[in-house]
Amino acid sequence: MKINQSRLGCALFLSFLLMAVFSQALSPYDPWMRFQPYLSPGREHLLGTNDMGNDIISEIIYGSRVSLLVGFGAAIMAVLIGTAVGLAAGYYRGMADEILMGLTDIFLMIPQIPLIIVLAAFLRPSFWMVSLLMGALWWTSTARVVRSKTLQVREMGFVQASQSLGFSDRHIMLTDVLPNTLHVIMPKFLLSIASAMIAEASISFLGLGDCTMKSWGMMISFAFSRGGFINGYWWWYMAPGLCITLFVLSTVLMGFALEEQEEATMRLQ
Amino acid sequence: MSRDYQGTNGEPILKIKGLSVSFETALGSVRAAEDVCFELGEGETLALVGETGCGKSVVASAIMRLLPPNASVRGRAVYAGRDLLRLSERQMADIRGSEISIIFQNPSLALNPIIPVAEQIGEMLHMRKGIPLGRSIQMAWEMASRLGLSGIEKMKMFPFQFSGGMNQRVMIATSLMLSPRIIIADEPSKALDASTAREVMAELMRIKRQTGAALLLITHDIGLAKEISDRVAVMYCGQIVETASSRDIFSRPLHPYTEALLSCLPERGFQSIPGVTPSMIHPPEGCRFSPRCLLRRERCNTRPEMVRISSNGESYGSYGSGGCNGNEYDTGSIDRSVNDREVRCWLY
Amino acid sequence: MLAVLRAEEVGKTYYSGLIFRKRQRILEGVTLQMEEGRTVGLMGVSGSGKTTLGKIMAGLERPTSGRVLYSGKEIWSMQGREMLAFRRQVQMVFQDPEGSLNPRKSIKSSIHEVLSLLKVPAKKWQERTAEILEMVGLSEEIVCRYPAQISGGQCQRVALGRALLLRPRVLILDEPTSALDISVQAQMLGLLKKLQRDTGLAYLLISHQPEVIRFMADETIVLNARGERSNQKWEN
Repeated sequence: MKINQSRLGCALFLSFLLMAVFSQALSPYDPWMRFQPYLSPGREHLLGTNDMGNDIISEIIYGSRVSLLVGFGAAIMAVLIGTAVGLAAGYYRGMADEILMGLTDIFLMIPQIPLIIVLAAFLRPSFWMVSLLMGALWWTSTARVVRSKTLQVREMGFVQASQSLGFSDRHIMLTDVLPNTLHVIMPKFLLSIASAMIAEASISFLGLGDCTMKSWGMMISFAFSRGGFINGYWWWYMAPGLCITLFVLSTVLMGFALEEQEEATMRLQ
Repeated sequence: MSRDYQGTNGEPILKIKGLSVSFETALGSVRAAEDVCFELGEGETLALVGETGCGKSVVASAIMRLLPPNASVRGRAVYAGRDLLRLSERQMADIRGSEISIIFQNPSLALNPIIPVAEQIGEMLHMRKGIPLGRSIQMAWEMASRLGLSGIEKMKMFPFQFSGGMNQRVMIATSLMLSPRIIIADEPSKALDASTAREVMAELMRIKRQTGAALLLITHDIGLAKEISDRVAVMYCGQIVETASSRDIFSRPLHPYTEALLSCLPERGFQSIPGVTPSMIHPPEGCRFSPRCLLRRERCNTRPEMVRISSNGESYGSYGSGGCNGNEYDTGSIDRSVNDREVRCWLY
Repeated sequence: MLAVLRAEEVGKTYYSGLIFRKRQRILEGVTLQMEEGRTVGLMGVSGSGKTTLGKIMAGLERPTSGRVLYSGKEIWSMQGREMLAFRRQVQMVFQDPEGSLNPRKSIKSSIHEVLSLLKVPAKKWQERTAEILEMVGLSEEIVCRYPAQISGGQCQRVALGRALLLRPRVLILDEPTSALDISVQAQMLGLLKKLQRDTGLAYLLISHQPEVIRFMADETIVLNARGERSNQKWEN
């Protein structure tokens, strides 16, 4: 059962990735092309069309690009900042640690989604901005986790040995500490992608997203506002919803798989 | 410490015959133990001595059926007329803890950090014998105080508040709660400093004498083995090379490896053994110690058999690579005593 | 004999907490002297600050009182070149063999990174690696392995080898053999003695095993529970 879990997760993840990369080849039509609107699923349009007459399947496939990019962008940003802060705080300890952790606490207090909403309302919303903003606010949990692992690794003999041999702090942090913290960063990274995607969907649903780009969240938003729910056009809002769900599931399963692999290697040692 | 063991002419409580364990790994087949034979009498203390990696812990885990799935085990481990290696997991689970219990190396890892100490000790009674939890905890206190952990407030504490020595005592208490007939102690003193180790072992031996249990002590510390065991079996590279009473092993070691191991002791000047420990995947052909042996001869290229030597120096009977499974030598007329010795070397 | 490394009235106190500072005195007024080719043994009960003293002598921790002199100069007032030379020439080998090597680096890369630090040209790395492995009595086949795949004694020797690459004059050995089997311990002690004979290294040997100290040390210092040098007489 367990092996199937991780294989399923990887398979799903990869298929979404492929969908995003090879959108042009996979999608039957250009998502901006207009056909007859509000069509039910049929032979020519497997999931029908939306209110503008765009083919929904093509929208889904192209939408994966945007959604995944937002997810990855935010996650990479969050992990980079979080790792840097966590490493520095855990390694140097003392004053640096106090200051960095204070900073982390401040960022934790900021209500994230409301801030994004407020900023989105004032500035021109674009997916890049949303993605960056999420990354800039979410690094805190990664920082915490990396810091505690760094504190642990730092006390190990080989770090002290490296210090004694005269390696620079930077070298020690990058080659000794960081590789031993990767196994806590990876699951965080995967989960951040999932959270970012859901956040993006929520914001788009509230109508604050970028209307010019098609993402899964925007599709649900349009489905809601343009009569999809009321008229029961389930193919319009179910498809993107299902995609988001499946993608989040795949990241979670992969996270589990990584955790188990790490546990197995620890046991062998 | 326990020299009052006179040996028994009755059936030994545990008979290991031809035990061989190998692991399948990416680097090849690791022959961790080969053709291991020994017997443990009731109430006896047998020490299995050897360097780290010689396979002694593997033997203990094999007897208790606690090896990982990639291990293949051959041979027999006969306890109370049953072969432990052929029992079902359920039957084994019944035996573990109540009849044969095992104390592991690192006590801090084996204890649950979030359950108070007394509860963990009492758990054995509560789960296995159905004694109510309150009474179990009380009996746990009694056992623990016999081991030197006094004070009721200590019993409410958690393992992380205890030092290594105290945790080891908790482990010992846990394993003794159901009065097992055999205790297997796997490097019990490794994680402790010298004085604490001596104290803990002294207490273990005291309780062992009271309950009459047999002890299989697995250690690399030959000094510890000398102090507390009745008999010693020396292992090298997965094989037992010599078995004798602990007095004989130290005063008249027969096997060159035993001799070399003893000269590593501080009393003899820390003289190291030349060469390196051989790989368990491609062990040397013939006698495994021969590449490092100063008394090496042509004959040593073939595998020596285990030879029995009686107390008056005669060698009688041997059993070869077929293991001691079938070829039991005829000892009908000779009384087996604790002074009998076994050696695996062409010198004898 | 020339005093290579000397500690004068060294004390170390830890403070914790921001407002109500708690004091923990680890060491108090310890003076000791290390000379070329000689071993100073350091003993004491658990928690008596032996490792801390070792680290202070190695310059890895700063004493709260007293001073440490290397070749007559105080180490904490050294600058640039002098400081670098000190750091290279006084090395410390730590207690736990399993933890003394990065588990994610192969032995080869652990040794190579030290060579790179010493700015040895890359083409000489293999030669220097073979040299140092021979010096500590290890076969070349372990270079491609990871610390988890080799024994504790072998890990300890690799750690020692890495320290020796810097060609130190002083080695601070923190419980070098307590986690090892007696046979490996004998090998390690034999190796240390041989190195001292061949290269004139000064050792500070920290151990809780009296027989090891008796075997190795020319002079012994005992620390009591308060971190002071005790007046216990020690026969060698």
